[in-house]
Amino acid sequence: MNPLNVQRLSTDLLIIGGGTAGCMAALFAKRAAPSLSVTIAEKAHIRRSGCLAMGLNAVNAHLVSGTPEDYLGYVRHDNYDVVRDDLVLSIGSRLNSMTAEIERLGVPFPRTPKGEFLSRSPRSILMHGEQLKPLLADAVVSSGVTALNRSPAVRLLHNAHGEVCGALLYQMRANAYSVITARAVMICTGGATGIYRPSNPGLARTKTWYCPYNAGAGLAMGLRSGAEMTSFEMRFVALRTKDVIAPTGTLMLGTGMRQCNARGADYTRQKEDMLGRKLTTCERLLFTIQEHKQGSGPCYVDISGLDRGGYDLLIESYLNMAPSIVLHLLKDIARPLRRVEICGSEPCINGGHGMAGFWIDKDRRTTVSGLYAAGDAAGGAPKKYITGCFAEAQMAVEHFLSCEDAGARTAAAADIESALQEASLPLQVDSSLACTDVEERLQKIMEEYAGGSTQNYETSRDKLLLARSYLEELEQRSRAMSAATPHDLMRTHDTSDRILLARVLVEHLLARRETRWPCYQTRLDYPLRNDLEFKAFINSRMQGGRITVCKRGTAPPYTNEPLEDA
Amino acid sequence: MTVRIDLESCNGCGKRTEGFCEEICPGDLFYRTSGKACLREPAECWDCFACVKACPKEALSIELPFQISEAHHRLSARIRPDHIVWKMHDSQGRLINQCSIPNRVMPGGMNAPEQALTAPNEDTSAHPEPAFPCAAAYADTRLLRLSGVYAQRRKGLWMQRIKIQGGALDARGWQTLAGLARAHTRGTPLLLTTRQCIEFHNITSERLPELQRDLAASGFTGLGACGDTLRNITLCPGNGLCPESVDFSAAADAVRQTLEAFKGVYSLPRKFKISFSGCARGCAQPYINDLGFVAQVRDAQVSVTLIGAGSLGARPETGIVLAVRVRPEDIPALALAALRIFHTRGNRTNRHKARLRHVRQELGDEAFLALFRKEYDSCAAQLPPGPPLALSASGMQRACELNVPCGLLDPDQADALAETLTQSQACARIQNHHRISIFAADTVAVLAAVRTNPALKPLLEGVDIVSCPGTAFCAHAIVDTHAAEHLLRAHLPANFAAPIRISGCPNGCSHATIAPIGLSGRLKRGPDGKIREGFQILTGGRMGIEPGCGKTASAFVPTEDIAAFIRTMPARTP
Repeated sequence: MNPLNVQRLSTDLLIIGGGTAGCMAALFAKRAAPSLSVTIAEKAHIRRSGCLAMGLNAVNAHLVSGTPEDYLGYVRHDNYDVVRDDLVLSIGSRLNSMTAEIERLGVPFPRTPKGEFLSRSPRSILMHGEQLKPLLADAVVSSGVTALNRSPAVRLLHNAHGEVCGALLYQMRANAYSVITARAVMICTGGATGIYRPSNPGLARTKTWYCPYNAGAGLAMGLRSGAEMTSFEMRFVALRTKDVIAPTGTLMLGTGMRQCNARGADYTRQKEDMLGRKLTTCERLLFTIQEHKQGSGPCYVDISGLDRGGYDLLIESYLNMAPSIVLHLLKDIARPLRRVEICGSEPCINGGHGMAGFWIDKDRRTTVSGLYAAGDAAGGAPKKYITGCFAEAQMAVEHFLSCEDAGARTAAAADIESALQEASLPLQVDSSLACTDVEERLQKIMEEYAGGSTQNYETSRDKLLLARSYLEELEQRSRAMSAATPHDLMRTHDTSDRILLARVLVEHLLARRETRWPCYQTRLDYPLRNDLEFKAFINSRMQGGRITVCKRGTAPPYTNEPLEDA
Repeated sequence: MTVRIDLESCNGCGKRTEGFCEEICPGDLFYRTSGKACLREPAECWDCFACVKACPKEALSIELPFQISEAHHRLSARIRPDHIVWKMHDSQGRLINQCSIPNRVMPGGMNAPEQALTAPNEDTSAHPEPAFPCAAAYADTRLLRLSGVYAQRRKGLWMQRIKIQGGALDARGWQTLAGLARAHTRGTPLLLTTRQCIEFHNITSERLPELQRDLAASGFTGLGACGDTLRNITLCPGNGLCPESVDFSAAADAVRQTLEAFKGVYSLPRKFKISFSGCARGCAQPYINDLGFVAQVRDAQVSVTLIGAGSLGARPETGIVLAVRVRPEDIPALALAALRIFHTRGNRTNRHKARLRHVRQELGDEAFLALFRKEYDSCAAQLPPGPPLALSASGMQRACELNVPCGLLDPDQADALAETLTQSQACARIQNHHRISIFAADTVAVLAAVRTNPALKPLLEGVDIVSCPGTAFCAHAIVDTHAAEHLLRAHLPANFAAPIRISGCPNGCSHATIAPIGLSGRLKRGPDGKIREGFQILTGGRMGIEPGCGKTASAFVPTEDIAAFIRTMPARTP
């Protein structure tokens, strides 16, 4: 295989990643400017790619009651005051109009007899979203967007001034690279998983919380182009049902069921009574782990209070979003499971639930000229979920359309040359090192030294320093990964991206010398929250192959000025 | 995790440059080899079901790895125009659970499937107008029930029952009903009742008028399927088909027409049930109907006995012989006489004492019989004679029986049944205990056709269990009967002979009171204060021509323990 016959393409707006944010951005752009040429470069197929592949059973960021300010208040409280207020507020004001967009696509919403959405909390409404992604993809295709499926972008391309002006795509089915140039590039590749060891071994090893095919390609490309990243240390860990890693919100929200420990005690309510406030999302996980440590585990969601109708509704909700848990719940068809064991998932980098991702301004511009980021790839605004991703896509497109049309930029020949060389490296080496071996090594390092699930998500300075040096060695060794098929080549790219993100993540974890979001970020050597020094963002970027880290304050105005080392 | 590829169903997507699964998999895990789909690396699968939903051949399903679940159930899905049908099969390939969920809002309502639109408009003059109440009648429960509609347990959903006289439904009928179930109830399975009717479930308020319109257009009616009126007339399943039996179909039509012409028929004190049994075996349960005609054939001589004024319910009471050596021409007059007595004398204040048998009990058997004879004389003078009876000469024999778990027949199974009937020129009759009998001249060919049909094959075996809809659908039920049935099917030996009847409340719709083993739903507060579902277990009942009530074997057994309890009971053959 020799993918050197390089095809040249050109478009106005190049969207990398045709998932939640990417598809919606393309649709908004084409709707507002039908003559615009919009291209999506998608690693899989836009009908079923990204986090929505399985479907979705609820819109978790819809303001049933309350204002965008209330939403900001909730997000701040849940994340211990380190969030980008401007980003969260801009998302909050658009959430409900994005729900309307979902309805416009043709997704059915169950409603009350009065015609109101069926809500399961003040910010969550039910939806029959099994076909959400195909409906979105159909709308994208029929609007005239060019969707390049099975065409993962592997490197960003730059012009002579260092501005991003396109990308190098690997077209898997044709087994060829192509260069696509654009007026602007939007990163919508989502977050990254597969960095830590997954919850199950063997045949079930890909039963991850986050879409396992999200390797963080956009984040890695951004880092290589010098873009600034934020809050990687705030890894997101979901509280999920054990083994099949299905959402616990479906079990608890709307059904009125609660978490309990092995003795049947509702430990979350006990903690809430003690603290006199609602628990934050990470505390729900923290106290579950504490129960385990105290010998009161395992913990469960007790659904024995559900009647047949309630159970049927639960099954329906799961089929809309995480179908395989139904095989688990109805393992004995006559005795449906009544106590569902829960645990934490593998940690991942994610800007939709957590806030790890590109450091962006209110127009969703990154720190690199010509590059936007939206959705899970964009940082600073946690709990945006699907509607927030859509809102970010809309804001990015609005800014892009407000800019003067200067025509597609031209990529510098030297840049294309070096990108091609890097990207086709696995084809040229001849070794027996497979990407799966490298990934196993990566996951072992991260799991054991950087706070994986078996370590209760805890780590400390010396472990992290070991992780840093092991990762540097691994990165060197990984250059010997070889690929024989297009699928292998895609996987080696994924693995290189994951190693880079892991290295940045370790630097972030080292820099935050406090414990701000327990479980998401726990430093055993600094077990307390330190507002004096660390009520701030930890940001990073790559300069000449070296990762530099700094602090940014939480108070506005936020600027996109270049950083000085902290 | 694990995608299971059924290599028999997979056709490799023919000439497509990429297979559907190959095209859609977000992990790029599929490729094709020797014309079949193949998984690159099973452990890389996320379980997202994208391939399962995309496969037009339903060749893909997902099962959990053994480390997580040793049960080896598998889950598959089929995308329909505006909904998705999920199916769960056990390791033996039996369908054990199914549900359908809306997934797309179709512009301008849903597209009805073609067979519903092209269904022939049969002679509808036999159905009184209006065949169904309009949507405005939702508030009037009585009207709704008369048209066969009941509110389901889940708010906003309705059940529509339609009458199938004698349970006789041809291939086109099965196909039409399957199509209507897909079009209007998102493919919810059709429920076979113990009076040979068929029920549609999970109908929304908006869909109900459309379903009723389409049913009427295809010649089906729900009028009189529920409510205080003449219910579906049942015939023994072999009527007109079994050798050595009497064909009552013309007589049943005459009775229905005569009684429906009676002006009080839709304002009876309570329901009124008639059955016809073509031979002395009495498969149509004459003793538990308001009127039960039973034929006896001896040396080509037919003699008909009329049994009547019996009923089940919470306190069953079998009927008595009302007339012997009934002449065929008298059948409509006898039926009308009984109905008229019921209409004038029936108790209209206490619904628990409102059946014809209560009239008999109040008057005493002798006075009741005298009144019946007098009323018959006046009816016979007014009515034209009924049609003559004939011995059945179909040349067919019973080929097999389909044992439908919980009485729930999937639209796909209904289609498969229709196909089999057409191919092998066979006849299907819905029985009165969740079974479908198939009759044919060439029984071997039919059996072979059913055995090779993947949708029907699993229905050929199984323990004889009938459960009422229970809390899955019924608003009156107190326990989940389907769970109990699944439990028993899974844990009783396949050769367990005694029939089991499971009722979700004391009303006993599944005839639990007269079953060899009967389960009647009960709730009980346990020592921990939590209410538990369970059953009163009855044993020793008789369901044949002469029914008898069972005795309590245990006042309360929790649902999870019923299989263990019943396994220890002596299995009596009926």
